Parts: sequence; C-alpha cells; structure tokens
Amino acid sequence: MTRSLFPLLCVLLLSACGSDSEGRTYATVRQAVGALFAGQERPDLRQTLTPAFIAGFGQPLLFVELPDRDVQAGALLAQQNGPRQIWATQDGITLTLLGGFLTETRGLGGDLMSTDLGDIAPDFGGQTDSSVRIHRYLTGDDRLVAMAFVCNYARVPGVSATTVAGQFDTLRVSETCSGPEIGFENLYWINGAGVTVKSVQWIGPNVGYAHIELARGQ
Amino acid sequence: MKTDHSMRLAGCAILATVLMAQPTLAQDRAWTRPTLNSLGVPGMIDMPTAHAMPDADLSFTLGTFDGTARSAAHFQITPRLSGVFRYVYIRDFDNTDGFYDRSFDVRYLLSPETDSLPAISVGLQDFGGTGIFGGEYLVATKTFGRLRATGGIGWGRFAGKNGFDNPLGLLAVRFKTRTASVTGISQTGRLDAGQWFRGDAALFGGLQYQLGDRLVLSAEYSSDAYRPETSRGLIDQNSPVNIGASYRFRNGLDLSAAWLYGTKAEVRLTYTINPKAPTNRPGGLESAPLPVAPRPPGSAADLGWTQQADGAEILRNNVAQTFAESGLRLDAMKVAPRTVTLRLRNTQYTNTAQAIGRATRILTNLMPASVETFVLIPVTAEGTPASRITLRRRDIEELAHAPDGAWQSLARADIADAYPVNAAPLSPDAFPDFRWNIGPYLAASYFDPRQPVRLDLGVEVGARFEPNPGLVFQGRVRHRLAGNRDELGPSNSVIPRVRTNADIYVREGQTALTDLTAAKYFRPGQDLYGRLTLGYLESMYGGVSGEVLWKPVTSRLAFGVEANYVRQRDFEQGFGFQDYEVLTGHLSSYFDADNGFTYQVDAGRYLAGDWGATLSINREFDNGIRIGAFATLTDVSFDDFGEGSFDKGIRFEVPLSVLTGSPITRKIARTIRPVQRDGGARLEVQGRLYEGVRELHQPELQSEWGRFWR
Repeated sequence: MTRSLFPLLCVLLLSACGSDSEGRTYATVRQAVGALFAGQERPDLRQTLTPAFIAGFGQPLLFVELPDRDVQAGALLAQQNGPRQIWATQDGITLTLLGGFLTETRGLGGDLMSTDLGDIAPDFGGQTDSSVRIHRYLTGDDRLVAMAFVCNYARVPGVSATTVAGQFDTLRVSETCSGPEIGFENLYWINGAGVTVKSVQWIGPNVGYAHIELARGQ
Repeated sequence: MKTDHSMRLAGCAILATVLMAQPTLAQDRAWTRPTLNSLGVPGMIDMPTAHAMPDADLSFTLGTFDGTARSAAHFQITPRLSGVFRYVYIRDFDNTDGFYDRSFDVRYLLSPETDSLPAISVGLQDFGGTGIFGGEYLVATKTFGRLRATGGIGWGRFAGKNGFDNPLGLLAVRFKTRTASVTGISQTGRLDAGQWFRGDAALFGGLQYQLGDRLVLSAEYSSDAYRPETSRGLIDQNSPVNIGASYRFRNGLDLSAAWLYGTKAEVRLTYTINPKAPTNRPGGLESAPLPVAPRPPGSAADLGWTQQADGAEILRNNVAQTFAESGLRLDAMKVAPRTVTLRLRNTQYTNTAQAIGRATRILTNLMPASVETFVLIPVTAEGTPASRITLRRRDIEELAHAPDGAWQSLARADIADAYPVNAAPLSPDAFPDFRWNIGPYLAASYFDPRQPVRLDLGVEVGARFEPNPGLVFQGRVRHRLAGNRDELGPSNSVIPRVRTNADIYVREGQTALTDLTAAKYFRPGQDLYGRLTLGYLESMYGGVSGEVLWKPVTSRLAFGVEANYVRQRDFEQGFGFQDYEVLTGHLSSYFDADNGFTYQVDAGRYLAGDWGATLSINREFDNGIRIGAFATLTDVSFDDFGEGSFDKGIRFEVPLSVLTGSPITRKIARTIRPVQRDGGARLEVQGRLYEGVRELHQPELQSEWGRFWR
C-alpha cells in the first residue's frame, strides 16, 4: 500500500503551484516524466540541411551531432569576438569555438567549462607537433576539476571532406591526446582559407564526442 | 563436531588475515566497495569486515528472513568514520503485535589495508548498549587478489558462541563481566559506555571470493548465538556457518541471498548512492547563460546616455525583466555614469555564485559601456541584504573564457558586508510583493511502535506579502484529507506536554491555521542581522520571537541570540490559546568548517522550561545535499524524559535540483527522530537568520564559485 503510493506522493509533492513557482516545479516534473518516455524516432537533421536550404538560410549556421547522446541540432552564431565564436541552439545550449577548437560548452550537463589550448592555437595548420591541453569540468558536488592531456598533431594535406554544405579539399589535422586516465582523438578538416569546415572533437567524459560541421559561414 | 569444524574455519581466516601478508595483484578493482551485511554495515552475512565504504557513500539495506525484517542506513561520514541507523522488526518477539528496535552504530577504520597489513576496524553496534544488538568488535580484513579473508574478536552480541574470558580482563577486572541487558522502553537510548568491550569475548571470521565482475561469494563463521531470538524459540541454529552470495548491479544496487545457521534463508537488497555524484549529469542541465558582451574599444568614454532624462528608469526596467527571465529578482537598482549598484534575490539557483555569475553577464549586456563597476548586493529570501560583491567589468570581459576564469574572477571580486545599505530606487515591479501557492502537503511521524511510518496527506494554501523589503506577512492553512497520524498513542509524559500532544493537534485540527505571522528583518549594524516575528509562529505555539545574529561576511564563525515568549495554541489551531506559556530562547554558535562539516551549538531554555544544549553536526556537499545528526541534553532526567532518554535524531536535506538536474531552489528536508518527546523540544520559527545569511557570505560563495561561469 505504502509502496505503491510512494511515486504518486512524490509527484504530488512536487506539483505544487502558485505565483512563485511560475510553473517551474510542474515543468520540472513534466521534464522528468517526459525523459522516462523519450526515445521516439526523430528525423535526421542532415536530410533537412540541404544545400538549397542552407543557401536560403541567410545567416551563419553550425550543424552539431552528439552521437553518445543521440542528438542533433543546428546552432546560430550568438556572438563573434575575434577568433572566438559562441554558437547557440534553440534549446539553450551553447558551444564556444576558438579558431575552430571547441573550448567550452554550456547546457549539456557534464559541460566542458573551459579549455587551455597551450601553444597550439596560433600554429594549428603549421609545424607544431605537440602541445598540452587542460580541460575543466564541474564534478557532481560542484567543484571544478582540471584534466590535463598531452597532444600530438599530424597533418595530411589534400583530403576530401564532405559536410552538409558540400565537398571540400582540406588539410586534415589529427590531434591525439592522452591523459593519466583517459585519452581521445580529435579530427579537424581545414579548407584553403584556414576555416575548419568539419571536426570531431571530444567534449568530455560525460558527453563524449561532438561532430561539428560548418553549414554556413559568415 | 560441527563446532570444531567451524572454529577451524574461523581460525584459518584469522590466521590467513594476520600471517599471509603478501603483496596483492591489481585484482582489487571490484573490491572498491565492500559488500554490506544483514545489519547494514560492511561485512559478509551477519559478521562485519574491516574495509570502509568510499567516502560519503550512503547505503540503504533492507533484508528479511523468517519473521525478521532489518533495515539500515549506513553513511560513511569521513573516509574512516561511519554511522548506522538501524530499524528492525521481529515478529512474535514479545506479546505485542511485533517488536521494533531502533539502534545506532559507529565504526572507525583504525588502519586502511596496505600491501602487507590488513585493514583494521573497530565497531560499536547499538552503542546505546541496552538493545538486543548491543555488541563491539575489532576486525581485520586482508585482500589476496580475488579472495578476502576476515577475522575478528567480538563482545556482547558477538560473543554468543564459544566465548572465552575477556582478554581485556588483564587490564582491569571489571572487563570480565557485562551486566545483563536492561530491558524496558524507558531505559532505551542511553549512551552506556560502561558496557562496552565487557564480558566474554569470542572469535569470528570468514572468506569472500569474487567470482567474475559482479558476484561475491561469502562464507563465515558467526559468533552471534541470536540469544534474544533463540531464547524465545524464534530461530534455530544448527550450525554457526553462514553462506551467501551478492550480485552487484551497475546502478548501485546489490542483491544478496544467504543460508543462515543451517536453517533459514535470507534475502537482502542494498542501494548505495554518493551525494558527491547524485546524478549522471554533473554541472546540471539548465540552459546556457547569456554570454558576456564585450565592449568595443574606446566605447567606455561615451557618456551620452546620462543626458537622457529617463535613462536610469529604462535601464532598471530592462534589468528587472531580464533578471525575471533568468531566475533572478531585482529589488532595487541605482545607476551612475561609472557604477551600477543593485540588490537582487536568487529565486532559482541552488548555488548563489551561479546566480551572481548570471546577473553579472546580464549586466554586461544591458549596461552602457561607461559603467565599469558592478556592485551586486544579494538579499536573503526574507529581504535582508547580506553582502556586497564588487566586480570590475574589465575583469569579467577578460576572464569570461579564461581557462582558470572561475578562481581568477573570485580573486578579483571584492566581497564585503552590505551594511550600511544605501538607498537605491526600488524596482517598481518588485514591491509591494504578493505571492501565493496551493499544493499538497505530506506530514510524517516515524517509529510509532504500532506503525513505523504514519503519514498525513492534505492540501496547503499559503500566501506571503512583502510591502517593502524586509517586512513580511505570511500565513498558511492546511486541510488534512487522509492519514493516520491522529492515531499516534496518547501522551504519557510527566513533564509539560509541549510536543507529545501531536495526535490531538492532528485530530482536532482537520483544517488548521498552521502559521500566520508578521516579521521584520533588519540590519542593526555592521555584521549584525535582526529579526522580529509576531503571531502564530507554528502549529502548536504563538507569541513573539526575536533574534540577533553576528556574522562577519568573511567569517566561518557566527553567534546568535534568540528569545521567544510563546503560548501553547488550541488543539484545533484556530486563533485561540491554551494556558501553558513559556519564555524560551537560545544562545547559538555556528561554525562552518572548510572541510564541508558544519557545527552548531544551541544552549538555552527549551519549550518545557528545561535548560540544556543541542549539538548539531552536518556534512554538507557543495551541491547542497546535507546529512547530519543532533542531540540535546537538558536538565530533564532520563527517567522523566521517557522512551529514548534524551532528544536526538538525524537530518537530511536534498535540493530538488540535484535530483532533476534542473535549477530550482526547492529542497526536500526531513528530520527523523527515534521518538519525539517533550524534553529538549525547540520552537519552530520560520525565517531564522543564519542559513539565509550564510549562503550569501564569502566562505559559502567561495566554495560554490566553480559555478560562477555556469
């Protein structure tokens, strides 16, 4: 009796309403319940982002896919400040790219809070073949922890890359990073103008990799 | 014969533990968390082992065999110290419907396992000393790859079989005898240190083997004769050997089964969570903050906006609106050509530093470029300005994406007392402020001998009116729809019945005015905070309550004084009062240690007119989860107090945000007492100052600052 009542009571307790909560409590419960039944088939966003659609879109657009979370989204350029771009999705997630490197995320849970790229950023397409990266993440009890990686770079010119925007002749840079407990490998495809048109970058242990394609630049 | 064989098993295990000290292979990964035994402590089946759980692990165990149900909560308080609260039901134990026993344990890891030495722990089981589980042990466990061997010596309940003269008798003759357990409910709950490690001792031991990744097999020689049970004919023991297996699921659940004493089968479930990692989405799922908007170079010189007559008003309205959309509330704002000063409340985030960080980013987007200094004054939920955080806009722009931006921004922030609070124009939307809510409520009473959990469910309507900052009128009405808390036993208290008439309050107050108060929150001076509350303070008392708190903004230490003159309310909880009145109050000291522990001592006069003190200790995680315990001793004698002997309990608080991943300030808070009596009972007043003030002060902000940029 008591046991079968318990979940119901929980929901009831959470579902108080009033001028204060502005429906937030209710929304939280709905979200939590919704999450339980999520997982219905979603259309592949790649099918929507045809070259014609992109040409008519009229503003910068980034295509992002998180395979481990099974989500895809289009992101709009929310801010550009020098080489730093902040891209935002409609559901309140932002990705910060610094000259093509993914340096921060917000709104994913397990976010990459900041990145120290070491020496590599200014000479990405050049000769530098190793560097140090430091990532910062929030723990479950809200402390920032740093993870350090040693990364090696290898460059292959003349690689053909296909993105939602089309086909490009690129310089492919691979970045192989290893840390004390975990390692990852990022890949970047850079066009002749030095723009990263496509990349596969590791966000962190919780989110996994992000597949990023520049659907439309400036 | 059987006994000889079993003794050999125990002897072997002990020998293996002590002598076979060999370096272990890296097989011990699966041993990261020991299995818990039927009493809810790290152990095999009935016997304990020596390893500790990982720091802060919180485990719940529920097991059953033949008319007995045992439940326990085990908390690894520090890496070495752990505490247990246990609640056991035994059918047919005495003449009543069933026997319920509550007990507390503490365990301490004397030395962790090393390559050559075993882990060694000492445990006090049911350290009240008069319950049926009372016993002490010293136990050692050593890991040999997939095998773990345990041997120990026990007293009390652990000396039931093959006991021998207490070796501690060599130290003092008194150790040789253990006085018989005192029974009777009035004797429970006393800390009877005089019994510990006394009487005969016995050896126990066992082996655990890890088969594959998730299965652990156990065999033990138990020295527990189950005397209270066997003497009542409830349990037979054919053999002192128990065997069992535990399967570990990925989600923190362990399922165990055992064959006890050759006669009984036991099934047990254990669930373990760690408050440091309550969800699988660290950092939360709330949407991204507005990015910092950097100013174009040279723009700061432009003061043209100051010429606009209604400029300040437009800015204030913009900020108020954007704050409201971001879980913040603007109380007041004053903008000058180079500085903006504002008072704000956090209505959404568990973490205050995150709220400050979001407010700061909003200001970079909305303030004219010439405004270089942001002065943010966070205000408690009751309207008291508690600190003044000064940030330079230039620093914010510089550090927004810096790798170590969180700590650098903290280092460059100036955190001072908000006193004196300058007059800033109030945000027109903010005052007068009226809020209401309607929703269900759930009230619980625990450990009634006839019904372990009693619940009431009903509807609650509340309203709150704050005409200007710090002046708060609020009230709540509850209507009870269903429940059984009215069937709690009638009071048998011999001191004024200040709390034990709860059943009558529930019965007669079907629709009750829970509280209705007028309160003023104010700042009497630097580092000082004040509160004056008048009205129906809680469901059982009404009157007047005043409090002053001293808490410097950078201090981990605070002192408070509270005085209340209250009268007991009518049972139906309308506007009337009964005859009993009392002057009650406390001197309080608070210490917020930087290792996550908080300590509080309240000394003074309690509701029954008794004098004494309460010690509360909490472990607090930066995500807002708190787990703690408290105990009160007053001049009410243990006999007059009745069952439990003195007031004590455990307390926990879990912000909803850590369960859902979404930002929301609501919390689940529960205080669980083995029994509620009249001694050491404190008045419940809403809006006590310390917690609200503390979370806006530097030590707390500092430990939360990792979320400044979240």
